[in-house]
Amino acid sequence: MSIWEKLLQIDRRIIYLLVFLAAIIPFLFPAGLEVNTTREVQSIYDFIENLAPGTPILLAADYDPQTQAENGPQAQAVLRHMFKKDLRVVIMTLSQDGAALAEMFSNSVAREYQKRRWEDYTYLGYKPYPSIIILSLGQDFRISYPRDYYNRKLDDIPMMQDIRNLDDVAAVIEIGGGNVCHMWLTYAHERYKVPLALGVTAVSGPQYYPFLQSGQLFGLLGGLKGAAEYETLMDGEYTRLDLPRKAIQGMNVQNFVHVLIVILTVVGNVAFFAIRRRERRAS
Amino acid sequence: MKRRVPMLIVSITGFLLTIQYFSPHPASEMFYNNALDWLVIIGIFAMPLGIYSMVRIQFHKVIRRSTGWGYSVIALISLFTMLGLGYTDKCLENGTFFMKLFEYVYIPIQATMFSLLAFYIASAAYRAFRARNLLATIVLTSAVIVMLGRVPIGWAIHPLIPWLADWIMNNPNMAAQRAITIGLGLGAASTAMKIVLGIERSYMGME
Amino acid sequence: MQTSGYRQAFRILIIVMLWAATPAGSLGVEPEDAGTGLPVIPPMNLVAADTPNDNGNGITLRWDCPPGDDGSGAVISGYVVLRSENSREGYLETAVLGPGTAKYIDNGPAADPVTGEKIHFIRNKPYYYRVAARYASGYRAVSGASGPVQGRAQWFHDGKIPVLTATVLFFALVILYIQKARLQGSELYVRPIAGMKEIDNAIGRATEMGRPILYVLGLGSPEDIATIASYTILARVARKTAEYRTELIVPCNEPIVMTIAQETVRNAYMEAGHPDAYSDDMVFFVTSMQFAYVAAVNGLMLREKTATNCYFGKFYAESLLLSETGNIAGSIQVAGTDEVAQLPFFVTTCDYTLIGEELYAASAYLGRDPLLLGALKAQDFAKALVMILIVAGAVLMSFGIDWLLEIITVRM
Repeated sequence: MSIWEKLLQIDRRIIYLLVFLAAIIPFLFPAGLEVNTTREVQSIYDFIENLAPGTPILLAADYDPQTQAENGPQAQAVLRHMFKKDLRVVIMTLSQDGAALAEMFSNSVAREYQKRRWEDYTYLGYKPYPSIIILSLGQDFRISYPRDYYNRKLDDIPMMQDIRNLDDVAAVIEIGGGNVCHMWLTYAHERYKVPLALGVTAVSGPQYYPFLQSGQLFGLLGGLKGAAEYETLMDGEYTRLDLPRKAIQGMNVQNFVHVLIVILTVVGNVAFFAIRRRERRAS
Repeated sequence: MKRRVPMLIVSITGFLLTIQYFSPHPASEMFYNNALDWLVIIGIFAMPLGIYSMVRIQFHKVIRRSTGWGYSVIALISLFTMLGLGYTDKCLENGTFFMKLFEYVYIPIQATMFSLLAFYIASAAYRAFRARNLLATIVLTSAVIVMLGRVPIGWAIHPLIPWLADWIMNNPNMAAQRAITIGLGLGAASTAMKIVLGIERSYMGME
Repeated sequence: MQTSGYRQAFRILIIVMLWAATPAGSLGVEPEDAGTGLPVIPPMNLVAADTPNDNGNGITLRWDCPPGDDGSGAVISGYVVLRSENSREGYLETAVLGPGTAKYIDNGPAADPVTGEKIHFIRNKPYYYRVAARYASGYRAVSGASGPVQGRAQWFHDGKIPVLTATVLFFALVILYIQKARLQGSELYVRPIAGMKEIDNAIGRATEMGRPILYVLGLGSPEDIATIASYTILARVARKTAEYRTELIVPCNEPIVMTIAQETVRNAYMEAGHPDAYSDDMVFFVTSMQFAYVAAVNGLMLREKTATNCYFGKFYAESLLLSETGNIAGSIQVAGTDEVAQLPFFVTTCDYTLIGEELYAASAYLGRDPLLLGALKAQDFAKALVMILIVAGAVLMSFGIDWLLEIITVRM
């Protein structure tokens, strides 16, 4: 067996080992490369930046523990921006595994900004059947969420007094990893015309570009890169509060792994052509 | 009779919900909300069926000492532990054993499973990305550009790479996505119509 | 705190009474604004009308902003919408709006300034409206009243006429092609789908090897079109496994999907003449958690050494984890999904992949039922119409002609 054949039939565990090393090394030796900002991320930043203090906005943190690595930094960066602008934030989740996650991150970011629960932000918690819940939000938040996560009646929450339905929020920022993003598009944006931006995993990012161009989405955070771009835009805030830039750190790892995959692809193709050439010569 | 009655219910409900879409009247809204409530109720009733099926299968595996029966024991213990702990009133408060299991067992396990994707993608890409012909070469080249363009190193190599990656995402990718989405939309509408007309019956376990 | 609240309420009451005393239709002009020197002019040409295409819970107000309002808030800081059941008195605040606003849909409660009680909007009740401009200098100028107007519910949403037209057209096409297919029988041509053909061979291979077949319906809910299409393929696979006496394993992610899949497989075994070979243990629920499901199914693949794996339905991030494990185990794999993002993963790891609507066409392709074939043809015809519309729209819009866009735009 020639070296090229050996390369083509390489044990996949060697590839796993290389990926493992490519993921570990950047943690020890960060490359610290600059993250460029794309239009779709900048537009979310600009939208929030231009809102007046006190404006209500809805953050739907519909992600699970499995996509937390990508969606978590997105949600945190966006919520920090909302709190920085003193917006009134309604937070909810339609992911059954996401209820505790959303509570943890919203409370911890709120502490960074000394925001008060029920006055500056309200966490509604989790409800099953996402499409039905989204449809009901268009009518009245109180249909699906008569009480918030802490069992307080929405009518008794000071910041919810003038927030009845999706018409009363400036926008919905949906951070999620699955089908629920489509539901927000179909039911919240198309039916109730509320401005919508998404934060999605890198793998599902490409399927939302058509909605971006058609104007159905005003912005898109794609995977960890989207979060890293947002952290870059919020750089001053991260420095001021001395916060870890989780997404930017994660981009170091992605850098290495992407480069590794490109190298593997090139090596695989070189081997493939070398064998093909030899076979042609032989025949 | 056993088959005709459900089909009739499906057809009538399908027609009424189609008409409902075009009417903003409160009566139409009420009908729609009732339909949504029914959906939730049916979903909740189905859950015990699922749990019964899961427990029965795992229990049988343990009794019969089938291959991997140890995993079934773990599955059953996990199910009943979380069920028991979750039944307590304040289980969702920080620091409870339920939340600790969620935070320190469940979340890391889920994240680990998801992270396996990186290993599998690398392995699959190594095997599958071959420039066998013109089309495969285009796919391969696009993949390399997008992979580099989506990370800071692409920008560091040359600013043209992220620009090209964005162009690929916003043009060829979008064109393909739209074409598939339109086809899917029509396919979904056609299937819905077949169900309402009683032509498609596979959802009732019939061909 | 309490005293100041009452004082505030009393002030508001006085202001409301002053507004109410302004004659209907008059402009309520105040002296000139001390800050800018401009005259204090109220909103003009206020028109209140029933909001079209709604459930009766809304009245749309439109007005012209006074000349000083450039939207910056420098001269006019905003507007206050007032509602009453009487043209001359009892006006209550229903909304406070920002500068530059010239339209508002009223459907919310008005607050009683004395009691603080919320007075809700009631459908079919006549209301009068006024809008007050709030000047940055502190002046308020209130418009004349508009009304009476009632919020009435509509039975038909005329903004959805394009959708209705498309639905009727598509429905007519389906009926037409079904009729045509009935006349022609199963002779209508449907292009071969490689993946479908290969399923039979894969079942044969599993039988020869004496190893089971794994059928995964994905993570979709029972109403997903991909899941519905998957039941049809499952019926076909189950009939073959019943005939060949090959073991079939169907782990499910959703209890309702499991129930339907059990019914499908049971019927298939009955139709194949082997009802005794069916057991509920073949189709079972695992978990509704995505990655726990993956772990369980991957474990099954490796323990049971399945010869053939079929993945048909809705798949998300688990697609690659499942199919790559199957690939490692050396199984023949056939997949089909309408989740576009997952197609590359299936294409790279499976032997055959049904792309998007090929999955939906599976029932017609497998059954060769003229009714299903007719619906498939209608779908193709509709697709051709969409293509014509896209090309025509692109050409017309390039020349600045937008009537086609106007016709097909859905107004919610």
